Amino acid sequence: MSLLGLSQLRFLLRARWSTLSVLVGLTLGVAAVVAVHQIGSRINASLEMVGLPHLDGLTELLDRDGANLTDADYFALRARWRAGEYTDVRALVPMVEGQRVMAGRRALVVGVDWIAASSLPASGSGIDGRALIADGRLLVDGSFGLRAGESIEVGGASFQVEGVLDADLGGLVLADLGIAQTLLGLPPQALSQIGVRRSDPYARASELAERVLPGISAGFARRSSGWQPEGWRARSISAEQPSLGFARSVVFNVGALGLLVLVVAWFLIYQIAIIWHRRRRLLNDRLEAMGVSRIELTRGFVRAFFLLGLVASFAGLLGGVVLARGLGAMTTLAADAAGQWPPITGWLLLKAGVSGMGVGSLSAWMACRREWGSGSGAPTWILAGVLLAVAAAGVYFPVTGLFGGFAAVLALGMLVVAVVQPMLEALRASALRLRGRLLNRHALREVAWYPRDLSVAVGALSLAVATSMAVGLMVESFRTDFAQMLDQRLAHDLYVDGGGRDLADVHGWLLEQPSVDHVQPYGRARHRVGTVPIELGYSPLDEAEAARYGVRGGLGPGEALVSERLAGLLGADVGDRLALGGGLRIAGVFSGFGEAGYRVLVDESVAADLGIELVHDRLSVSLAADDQVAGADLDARLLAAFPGVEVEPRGRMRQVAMEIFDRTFAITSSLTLLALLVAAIGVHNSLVALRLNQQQGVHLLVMLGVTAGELARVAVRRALGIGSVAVALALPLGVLMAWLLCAVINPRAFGWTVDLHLALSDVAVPLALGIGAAVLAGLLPSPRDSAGEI
Amino acid sequence: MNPVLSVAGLAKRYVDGSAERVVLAEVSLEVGPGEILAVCGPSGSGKSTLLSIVAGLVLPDAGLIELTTPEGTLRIDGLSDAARADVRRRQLGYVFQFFNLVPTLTVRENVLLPLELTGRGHLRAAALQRLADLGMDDRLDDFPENLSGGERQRTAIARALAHEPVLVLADEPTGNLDGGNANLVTDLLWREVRAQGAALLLATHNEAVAARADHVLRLGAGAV
Repeated sequence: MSLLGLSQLRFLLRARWSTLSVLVGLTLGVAAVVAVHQIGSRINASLEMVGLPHLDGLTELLDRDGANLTDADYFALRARWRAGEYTDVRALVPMVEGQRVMAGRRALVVGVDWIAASSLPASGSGIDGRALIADGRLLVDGSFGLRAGESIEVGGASFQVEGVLDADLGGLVLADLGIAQTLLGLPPQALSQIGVRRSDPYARASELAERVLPGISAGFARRSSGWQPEGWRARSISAEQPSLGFARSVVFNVGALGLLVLVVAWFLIYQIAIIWHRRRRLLNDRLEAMGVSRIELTRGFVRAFFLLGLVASFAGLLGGVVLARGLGAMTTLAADAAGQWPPITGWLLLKAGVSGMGVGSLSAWMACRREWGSGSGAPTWILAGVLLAVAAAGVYFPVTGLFGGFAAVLALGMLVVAVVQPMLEALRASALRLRGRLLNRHALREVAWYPRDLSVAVGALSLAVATSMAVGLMVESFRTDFAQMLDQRLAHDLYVDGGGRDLADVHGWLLEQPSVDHVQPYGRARHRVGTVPIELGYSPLDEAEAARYGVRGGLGPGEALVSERLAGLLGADVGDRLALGGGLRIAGVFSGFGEAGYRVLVDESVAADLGIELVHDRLSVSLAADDQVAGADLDARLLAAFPGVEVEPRGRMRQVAMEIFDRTFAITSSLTLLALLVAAIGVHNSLVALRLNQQQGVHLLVMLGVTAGELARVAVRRALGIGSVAVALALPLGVLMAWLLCAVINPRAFGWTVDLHLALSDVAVPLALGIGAAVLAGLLPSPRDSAGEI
Repeated sequence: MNPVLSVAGLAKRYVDGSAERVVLAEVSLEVGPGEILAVCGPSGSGKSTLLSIVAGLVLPDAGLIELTTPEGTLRIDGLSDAARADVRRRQLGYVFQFFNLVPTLTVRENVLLPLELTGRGHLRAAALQRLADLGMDDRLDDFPENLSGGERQRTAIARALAHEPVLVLADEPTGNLDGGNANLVTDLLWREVRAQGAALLLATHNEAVAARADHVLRLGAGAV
């Protein structure tokens, strides 16, 4: 090791406390990144299992835009492809699909030309459909409750179950093309669509990016490939499975919060690097006088932080794995995901390494540039202007997608960090106006006296407090809207779910019970509005039922209700017409928090007109108002009569829904608290540095007879001052970020808007936490060995 | 006339591992009201340690330190931490070579700080008048960083005497000043201490300054 390197290493060992702070802060940052990666990967893995397996490996679906499609069309298309017209196409797979009732439940029957599909890359579901080519073989999903080798009777014919998919896909039957045509009663030449796999560099890059940053593909606005063969209509596969995009949005949001912890850790390390650099100034000056260049000094300094980053990367990797399991245990997010925790892959190692060593090295390099004045020197107002422009662009251009939304959040956060130093300098300029006891004035002025020592740590604390406030406000606003939705929807006393099975017999039994006043049946089918796949719900939509969705009066003929997510996608509103059947008028838009797909509700008569075979797999029951006691054991009797159904009373439904809601947001709350912890470490470190740098000043006060108690009070007041500056900046930032989360990020991620409710407690608690963190950091003693760090 | 400060048989040694270093051995001195005692000696002779022990910041290994105040005579080496801090607050004033002033307080506030600590607000007008007498009346709202070395020491003198202590301790007060300013500060310190009737214990290695004191105590390797 060179003598310069040895000198750096000894400095790290001598400055034990700061070194430990860097390691802890950076380890927490890396751990957060690793944890959200693990959670995201697990959710992504589960998505592959619940995605429609026949769409694996495809990039587009082609149809004739409503016109009948036959195998002649397919052959014509294949001929043009083979003639070299579509050079980027890698595979064409003819398919037929439709719905029919099988084994008492509605099923999506899909027929695939498995020979053509064999050229597709191995899919996540691992299906080899060639086994289905033999006569009468089917592959069914878990919802049927069948086992491989069993038979299923359809229309007097018997079909053998070749295999069962693990996941419940809502009633999916996969078969060879001919068998599916038979099941659906279609002529042998009929097709529904052609699956296409194209070589798409964007899709490949997106797949690669997903491995490094799970959920990142949800960050971009929906992108159309623009590929449209003449005479055909192309639909992207991602649009076919909106639930995948929904879940990836969840992963992206969690990932963004994980990155926030890393950003706060970055500020902490940057601040320490500045302090270290300043402490080494005399030494560096001497070394420069001896002929050592600044490049060499910078290299040595960066190398020291790189070394710390290396240690933090490993520690963070281990910590992140543990953290992921902890967070997974407290939330439904990971608990719902099937399978095991993903292994530690090379991608994850790379990510942890880049996070730890990259952030450490970058911080050191930035500190060198700042302290030696070789930075760009851009005035704060230019930086502020750029950050504001980034935030504005992210908000006003929807094409920037979730990335734009989070870029706006981050830009505003950076803006706050950037203005801390000028703000402290401005406060210092008005320090003379401070009144009160002189020791108090001294304590408060110290906050503004050393802006370069404190500004980054104060900014990081502001950012952490603002994020905590914003997430709290968003979650509570969301909770309020969600509770209102539940109160509106849960209008009945008892809910019966047949898990896809037709509940006609249960319906009849319920109507015979004297305690039952009314039974409302519900059914659902897959359908499309234009090219958008939807879940079409149907029920007798009378006045009472429509009221559950906030619509007065029943639905008239030719009317429909649409979910907010679908309305947002289509840009439609009440009064517009839906491309469904003969064109249904939108009578209302209902909020559908938690719905991963798009939903349309119609009266049963409309569903029947659309050619849908009516199956009711859910019922809601209203008990007679004067017979609630007799109805109390109705659920028990119902379960005894029909063991396969699920029955939940209203109160339990609401309770479960709210519990799921709260658990869903446990990760976000935990990550914001982690950011706050890292910020508190940063503030403490800055205060220790401040105390060390001002030791002579403290000595002077001791000589003047200031007691230890008075010095402690000075420390508390100074910390209170720091906390106050941090929360003063965090307050507007937090409210602005909350608005961004509610009005920009939620609509872009999930298609719903949340009304921002400014609850005092959600504002006050993070502010108090911020001040508390600063005071705690101020009260914590400086470790004894830190005296040697001067 | 009773001495303000009486030190007898003072000894102090430091142990560093197996090595023992005697800093002060059998030091005795007395300073009366209005008197100036200069403690001279080379670096490491124990001047600053002597001042720290008198101030109650460091406890001696042996010896007696008595301070005569309007409230009575106190044995500083026998007091608790809190009591010694109270003595420093009420009875002592300080002038140092560096770090003389609280950087976050203005000239006026630095001088008024001892009054606030001792609750002697009635001395405010006199303290500010002393500042004016020292030529600092146009710098009252300036912070120390904006002052010259001489101005800082003048402010420090005003601060050291503001609460009318019985004893002023000065550790190389002119060590950081050029010749002209050093003379000026010495003149002012002498004048103000004598005017107030306080005792001054001054540590210096400047023979010219020491020569102007009433008495000189020479320390060499910790001994008189």
